[in-house]
Amino acid sequence: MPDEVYEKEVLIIGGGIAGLSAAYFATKQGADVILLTKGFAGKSGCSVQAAQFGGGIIFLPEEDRYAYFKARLFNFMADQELAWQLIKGIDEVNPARVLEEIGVLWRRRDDGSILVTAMRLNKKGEPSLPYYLWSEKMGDTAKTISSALRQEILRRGVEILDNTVCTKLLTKGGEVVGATAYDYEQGRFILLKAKSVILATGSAKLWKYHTEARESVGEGYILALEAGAQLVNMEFMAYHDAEMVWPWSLHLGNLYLYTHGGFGAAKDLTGKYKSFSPSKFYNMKGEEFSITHKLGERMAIELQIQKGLARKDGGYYVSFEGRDPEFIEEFFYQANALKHLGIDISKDKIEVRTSCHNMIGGIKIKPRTAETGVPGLYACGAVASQCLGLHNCMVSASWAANSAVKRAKEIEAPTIDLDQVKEEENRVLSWLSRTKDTVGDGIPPIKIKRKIMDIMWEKCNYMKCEEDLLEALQQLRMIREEMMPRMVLRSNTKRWNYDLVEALEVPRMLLCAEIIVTASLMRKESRGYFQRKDYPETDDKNWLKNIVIKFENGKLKFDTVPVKLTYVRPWE
Amino acid sequence: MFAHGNENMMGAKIEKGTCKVRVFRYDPSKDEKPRYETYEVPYLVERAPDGREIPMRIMAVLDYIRNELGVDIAYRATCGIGRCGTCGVLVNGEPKLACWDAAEREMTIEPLPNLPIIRDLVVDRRPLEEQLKNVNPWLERKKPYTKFPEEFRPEEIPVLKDVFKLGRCLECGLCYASCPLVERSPYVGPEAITHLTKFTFDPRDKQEDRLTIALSKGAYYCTTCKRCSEACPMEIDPLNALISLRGLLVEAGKVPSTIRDALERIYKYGNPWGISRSKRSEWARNLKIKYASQVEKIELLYFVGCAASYDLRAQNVAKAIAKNLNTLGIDFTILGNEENCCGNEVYSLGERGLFEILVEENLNIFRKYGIDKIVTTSPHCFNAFKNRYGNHKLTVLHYTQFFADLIDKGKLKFSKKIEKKVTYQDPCFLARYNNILDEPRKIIESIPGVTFLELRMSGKHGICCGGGGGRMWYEIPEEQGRLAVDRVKEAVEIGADILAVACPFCLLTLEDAVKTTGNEDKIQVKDIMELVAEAL
Repeated sequence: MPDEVYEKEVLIIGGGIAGLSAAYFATKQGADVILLTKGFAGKSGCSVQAAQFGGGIIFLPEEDRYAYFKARLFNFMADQELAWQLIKGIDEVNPARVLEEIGVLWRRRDDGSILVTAMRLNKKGEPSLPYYLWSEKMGDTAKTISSALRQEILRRGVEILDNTVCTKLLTKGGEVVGATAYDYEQGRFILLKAKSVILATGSAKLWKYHTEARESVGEGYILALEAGAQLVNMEFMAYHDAEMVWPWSLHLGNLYLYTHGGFGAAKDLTGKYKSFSPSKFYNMKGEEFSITHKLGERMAIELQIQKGLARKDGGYYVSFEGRDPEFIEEFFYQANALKHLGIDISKDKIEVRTSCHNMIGGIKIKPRTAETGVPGLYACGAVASQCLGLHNCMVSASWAANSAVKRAKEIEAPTIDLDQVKEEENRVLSWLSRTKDTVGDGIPPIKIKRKIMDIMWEKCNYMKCEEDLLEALQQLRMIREEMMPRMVLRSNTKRWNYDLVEALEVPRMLLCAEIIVTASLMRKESRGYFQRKDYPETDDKNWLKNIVIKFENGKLKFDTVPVKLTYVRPWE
Repeated sequence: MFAHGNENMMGAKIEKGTCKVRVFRYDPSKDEKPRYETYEVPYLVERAPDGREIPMRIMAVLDYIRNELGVDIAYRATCGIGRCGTCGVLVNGEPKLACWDAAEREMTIEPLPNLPIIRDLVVDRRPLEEQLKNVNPWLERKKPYTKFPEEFRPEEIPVLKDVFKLGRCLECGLCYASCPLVERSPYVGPEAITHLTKFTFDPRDKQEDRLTIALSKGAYYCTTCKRCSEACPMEIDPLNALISLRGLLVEAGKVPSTIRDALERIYKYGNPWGISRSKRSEWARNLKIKYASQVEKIELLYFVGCAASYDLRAQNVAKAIAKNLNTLGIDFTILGNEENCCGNEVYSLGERGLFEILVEENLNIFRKYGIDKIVTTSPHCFNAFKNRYGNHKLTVLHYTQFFADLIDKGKLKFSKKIEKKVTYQDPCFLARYNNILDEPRKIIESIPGVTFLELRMSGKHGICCGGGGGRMWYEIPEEQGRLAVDRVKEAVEIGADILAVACPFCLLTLEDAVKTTGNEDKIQVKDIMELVAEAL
């Protein structure tokens, strides 16, 4: 029997900016909303790590919008209608305005005008592609936004269940009717009945070095898949090029240095715009190298790696020589971290590494409605394909909220299949009987998690190849066949049994990893963020296709679907 | 690791040592009581050629215990980079963020105080969040929001920037965990106060309603002990936020009547008791004392302070100091009836106007007499002159510094013994505000016959006696147990005969607590100067 039963109109799973925004938009329309989050609403996921807010693209002049649109097609892999609607959504929803209204203060210049910083400088040396808004201290932006959203939804009566992980989406007759969850603070099994469910579970920490909070392991993708939704573009992910290396840290978290952008905040005496990005990159030999490459910074580093002059997990350095330390202190979001560690940016060379940043692919959603194809299930934020970026999180969240509320007002409360609930409760709680005291020595889940992350890091990283990917599949299979059956918990306590949380994560992480590797194997070309050593050219003739994944008769099915070139074609 | 194994291009090396760590273990659903388990963990320090050290983080130690040693300790770990504020733990008695702060070679790691324990180091954040909700931590607009971007007048920009410094709060709860009042009183706590202050100063907010909340949620309960600001990992200074908030309450006339009366008495009579100025130096009547108005040059001004001047019990301290200085042949002078309140509590109560008046008056008196060196009875007066009076060239010392210096110079020798077990209450204004920890101990320990015992919560972790921040003139009826009572109980528990103090407020509150707990036959409260006078 569940320890607690909730009956709500809208259930939101995920407490990052996407989930909080969805709760805000839904409750503004009078819906009865509950939000559950594995970590803490407003403190978890990758949201809180974000430094700046892309809602500034509302200030993008017309002539720059096309360039931005093309960039968001991810080298023509994207759903063009979705990309276009996300941009339109910025004008319609105006996330920056939504946040300013609830109290977020966008950084102002001394004359009171709003500071919008740009991704780059144009030929005239002026900020071009205005994009980002900052809170008072650049780097606190996402924290400020999360905090304001959380307080606002609490004020509006949304119930928040922190430290509660969704274990399964409940379906009946092909529709999603609710979810089961486990509160791991108190060890309670919870049943939630809902007319609409919004998944906002964010990206996936499946690689050893990844810019995510610990609990973001990508379960949301698999929850959706299990409920009947489709995943797309899972082989595409973005990478960071300058994460600080701390040798003593057993991957605590990821502090990354911005290597581009931020233009427009202040000028130096010569009239040039100041930058807070590292000024120089050095390889293992101490030689300077350029971070600029037409395929992006990560490729520039890859070239050094291939020459044996850097590694993907370190061995190259950045410096801030020539940068204004006061400007960095004022504007750079890692400034207080650097100071705290005693790093002297005027002379130190900081060792850095690459890391995985964000999945680009995810749950396939319909533009403007955020529908997943499974009635009652919507997705928004980084868990949905293409919806990464805080401003896109909010636009897609508004779509999801509108659809969710509309459905909730139209349908009767659904009925739950109690057998499904009982089976799930048993699956979850039976782990408490699989401890080393009852079944003997085995493998704690954390060890398996780390093995998955090691395999992905070593064999399914930025520069892929068939040999590595096949090796990855083989090792993942070994985990599935040999390690998973020996997984045991270290204790059967009901209080903060994090082993149990991780035991539930492992099978879904494994499946997600297998999906990513399989899709990568399928795509025999290179395209933007997806690079293969053995297929270095882009193959528009054969590969202007998306790889779509779903469950069919209990098995994973990988299909290729031609990309609809609705607005732009690669040869234009 | 670095590119070349243990070394990197900058010549920095990783050193590996050992870390001994005691961890608090407790599962309320299974264990009868808590226990501590000890582990040994590799201690990694990056050492740069210029000598800089960057040790591993506390969370890395916890990860090692859980993942490498296989012990299932419970602790929160989310962002790992000091952003989410969920990983707070108590390390060697100090609240820290596990991911942000460096590990030490020997550590005792415990859960944060003031919050219910879920398991081991995981505490329940709900009480913290409830307190925050109590102050309505969302913007309540004065005027409806009409356009984007919002328009601000240029003069509002610096105010907003200042206000948003408070917005850097991670809501980590370290300040709440270090506040001695949140569990025993309805005080809403430093985190909530910080947020309340932020909105109260926000020009977009309705503001006035906030002051009523401030008053009802305990803006005057705080003793200004500064444990909260010490604990804050983002250096937000919640105490300063509270004092700013009190400033607004003063301006709005929303001050409890007993405090208002005390402030008025300071203004009129130069002391909070409201006793006539002509009686200020009565304590010195039959003593060998020089008065400023009667001498040519002042070598050293002994600033007595209101408590030691007017309170009968505290007067014994002034007498002891005068006696000790005379016995040691130190040339000193007092201001006599010209002495005025230093204003430290006036500042803490947010009465900026009166404080500025006192500063001006006192600096004028010092200037008039060409005073350049001051020694005070009270750490409060010491703190005011040293830190709150702006730029001046005065040398300001607390008597513990002065007398410890005499010991160092070999000028303070004792002729009698005090065969007692003596413990010491660190005054907030010496230990936390001014880092004065060793000098008082040096004096006590150099008295022959004394066995010095350390209170469990001492030094920078010491707990306030409850006398600061205006609390001498403000009672909280709902407070469960006075802070001073707990301090006395701790002193009795460790077996002390004497609880030594270095502050008149500690003296009065602790002595009162000895009486109310019926411990007069077990322990005595004495000022260090009284002990010195006995032993000289």
